[in-house]
Amino acid sequence: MAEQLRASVKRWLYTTNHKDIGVLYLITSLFLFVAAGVLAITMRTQLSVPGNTILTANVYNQFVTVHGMLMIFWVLSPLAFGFANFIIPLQIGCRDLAFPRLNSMSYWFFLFSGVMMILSFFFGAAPDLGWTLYSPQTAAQFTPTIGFNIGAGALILMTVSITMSSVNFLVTMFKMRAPGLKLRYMSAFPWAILLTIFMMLYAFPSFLAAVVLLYVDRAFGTVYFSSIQGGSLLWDNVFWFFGHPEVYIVLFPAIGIIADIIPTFARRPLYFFKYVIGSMVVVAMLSFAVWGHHMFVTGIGIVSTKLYTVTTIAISLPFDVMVISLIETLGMAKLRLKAPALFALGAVANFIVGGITGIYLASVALDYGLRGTYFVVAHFHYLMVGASIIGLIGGLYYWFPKITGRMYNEKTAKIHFVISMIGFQILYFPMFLLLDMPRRIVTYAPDAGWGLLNLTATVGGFIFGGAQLLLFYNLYRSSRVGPLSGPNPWEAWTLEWALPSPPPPHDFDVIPTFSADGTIRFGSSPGLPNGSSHSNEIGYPNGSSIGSHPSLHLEGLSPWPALMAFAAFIFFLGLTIGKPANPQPVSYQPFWPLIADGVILGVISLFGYSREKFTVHEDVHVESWPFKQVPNMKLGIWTFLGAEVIFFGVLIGSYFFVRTNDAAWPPAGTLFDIRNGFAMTLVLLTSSLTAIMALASARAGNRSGLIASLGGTLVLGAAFLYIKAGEWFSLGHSGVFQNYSLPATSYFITTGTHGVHVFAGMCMTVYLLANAIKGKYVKGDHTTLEHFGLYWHFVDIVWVFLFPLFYLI
Amino acid sequence: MSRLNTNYLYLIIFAALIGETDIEVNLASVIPSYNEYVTVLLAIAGTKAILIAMFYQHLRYEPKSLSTWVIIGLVIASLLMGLSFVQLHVGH
Repeated sequence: MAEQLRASVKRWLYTTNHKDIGVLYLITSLFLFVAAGVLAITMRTQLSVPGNTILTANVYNQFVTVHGMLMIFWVLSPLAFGFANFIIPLQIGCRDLAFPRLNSMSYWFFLFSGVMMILSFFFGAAPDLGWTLYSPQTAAQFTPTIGFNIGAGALILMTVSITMSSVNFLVTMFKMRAPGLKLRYMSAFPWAILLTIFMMLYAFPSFLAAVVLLYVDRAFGTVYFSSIQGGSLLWDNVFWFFGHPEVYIVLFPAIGIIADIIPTFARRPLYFFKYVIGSMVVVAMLSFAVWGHHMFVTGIGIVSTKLYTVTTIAISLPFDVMVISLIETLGMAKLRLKAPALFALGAVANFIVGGITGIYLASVALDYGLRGTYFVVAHFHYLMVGASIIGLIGGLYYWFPKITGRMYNEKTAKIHFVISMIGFQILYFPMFLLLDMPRRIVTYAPDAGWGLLNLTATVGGFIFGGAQLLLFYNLYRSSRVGPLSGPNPWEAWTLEWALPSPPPPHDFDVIPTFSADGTIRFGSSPGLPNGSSHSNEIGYPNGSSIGSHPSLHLEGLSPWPALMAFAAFIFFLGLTIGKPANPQPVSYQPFWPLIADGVILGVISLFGYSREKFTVHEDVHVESWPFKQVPNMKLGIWTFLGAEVIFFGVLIGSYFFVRTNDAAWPPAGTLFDIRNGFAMTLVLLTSSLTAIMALASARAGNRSGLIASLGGTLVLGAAFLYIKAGEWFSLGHSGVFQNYSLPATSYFITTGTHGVHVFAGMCMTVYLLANAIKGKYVKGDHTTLEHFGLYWHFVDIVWVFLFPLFYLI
Repeated sequence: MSRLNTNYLYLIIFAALIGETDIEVNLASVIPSYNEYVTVLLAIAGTKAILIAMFYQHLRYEPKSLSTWVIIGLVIASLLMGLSFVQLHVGH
């Protein structure tokens, strides 16, 4: 018994299997769904009658903020990525994600970031300014509580997790599809996830940069967001550049799920499939050009206002195509009204209401009146809860048999649907009528006239919240005693249903092959119809021929991803739980023992990670257009560098923003010595030469040349940091600290972040050098060097821009 | 390309990068207009970045799909930064 328990704990802590990690994501996000829901119910109780005093204003603000953040960052996307983890490899015919350990690390970073966010309640006060974290209220002088710093640390960890996931999924979906599975043959859910990843890859680095800037402002007294030149408008730009695509990031997976469910239960292929996917592509692209509609009242200028009105209205059109397609799919269909179909239809209905009310907000005149009211609360909850959560619950019922091998109780699920939909409408529809009630207020006067509608909404909240207990009860009980489902209870057409339920650890005995005529073959077995829209055939794979194959069981256990995430958690906790050291200006004293523990643990886990024998096979006989000749790791690194471009782009963009707003910026050479910048540029450019010469030496089998070149790169990196440190000390000696002025703030943050990247590159160089001394890399195994070079040269490229920006203009 | 030629190419690129840096440092005395000066400086920085990406990161020798992937990403990022700039400075 104890042995069994130990094995089970070890499995769940060490697993790198995509299905296990998918289950971990699902369970964690459902748990956090309950936590966020409890906060919501408490807020609704507070607002149920005028003048209520259940919550103080301070606590209410914390509840509003943490509820929003938990739901958006730790429930909606992770729930969707729980499905993506479990289902996508099965749907595209691969045995795991491209980087299984990275996948595990993504999960643990996500888990610890959620823990950290909840912990913020226990350190003075949690973040309390709404999930938008509007500046300058978030400045330390206005919000000195350390809970806010902890929240920022949690957001940074969460963003790191998402970036790792994005890179992993993108490489997997581009490079590891089953033979013959062209992108256009994929069903709606993989498409939705692929486009979601694209949006994540561009949006989240912007958010990471914004939170880093915010944290540094708070912890180290820099003045990006507390200055007139930066301030609220800079925050609005960097936040909403991420914030609006985030709406589609949480919506797309649900739409993908709905678009997989409805054809299955309507027994018809998705109507206008190609146009639906095309519409999703258009939305993904346009999503980055609509962020200004959140800033109509900030005085962004008439040209921008017009531009964002047009783009915001334009982005609704592709959604029309999606909705029409889903409705048309139902036309003449013999719809089987099982729970997944009911939830999918309910989500579509809510989506229509939420979408149409969004159009109102594209109008500048209406937005002026509505933006700060409960109308907006109703609008986005119809999308976030009504469409996204309801759609994702549909996904839970849909894939429950595949994940557990058992059927849920259909009757309970239908009751759950009916009560949820009734509760949802009672909860949120009255908010549309609260046109004059401001958002985020803790209470209101009896004569405001909002009492009845608020009471109604609260009753709806309890009905909706209570209905979810049926979901948990149903899923928990059915996972234990539900009848066996068989491989394909829905007679669905996508590939995961051709496997046993639950699928074996290695997923496929034989990697399937997709044919142009719409059939899927496992080795020499007869073809099964592919359910994606390129085929109009309808057939029912039974999965019976696909049994387990013990020789293919992939153990894939590794302790290091969890340990590394724990180290990062400890490190960020130490960085952010320090109490205010000064009352005015506020500064914080980090908790050094925890930081030291985090660093030590991080080094140990990195060492263990790099030493571990963990082989990931790259199958060459796969569909990998358009990156057929690009190895997985190289594509992953380039993709990661793409995220880095956005990250530094936002830092440099913020510099431009404040600089072009500041007429009194000191001329070149007066604050930062050009000679220092020139020397650092020469040093870093030379280090790029030595890095490329190291690769050339390795290719030539020249071990001494390799060691000398790597050693040179390390020394030059150290020299760069030495000059940089000298410059910092010299500036400090002259009284120019990070909080001295905007030029100093932008300089210290941007060059400091770049310096951290140089230091990380040096750590990699030490590792490479140690291996080179042992004789590695000169026998044709030099790809690691090549990958390191991509990173090191990128760091060099960033400096190529920083040098003129900070020293020459 | 032989290994010797490859190393030679790396050295030529390095010399070009150093040369361009030298031009950057001395450019202020040649171009009196501030706006033109900034534009030329950023253009030189751009060419340096392209040289590093093409030859040190080997983008020039990678499959077209990868270089297109990188270029599309950079173009989109530049457009978005441009949009922010329009928002800040046009139409007030």
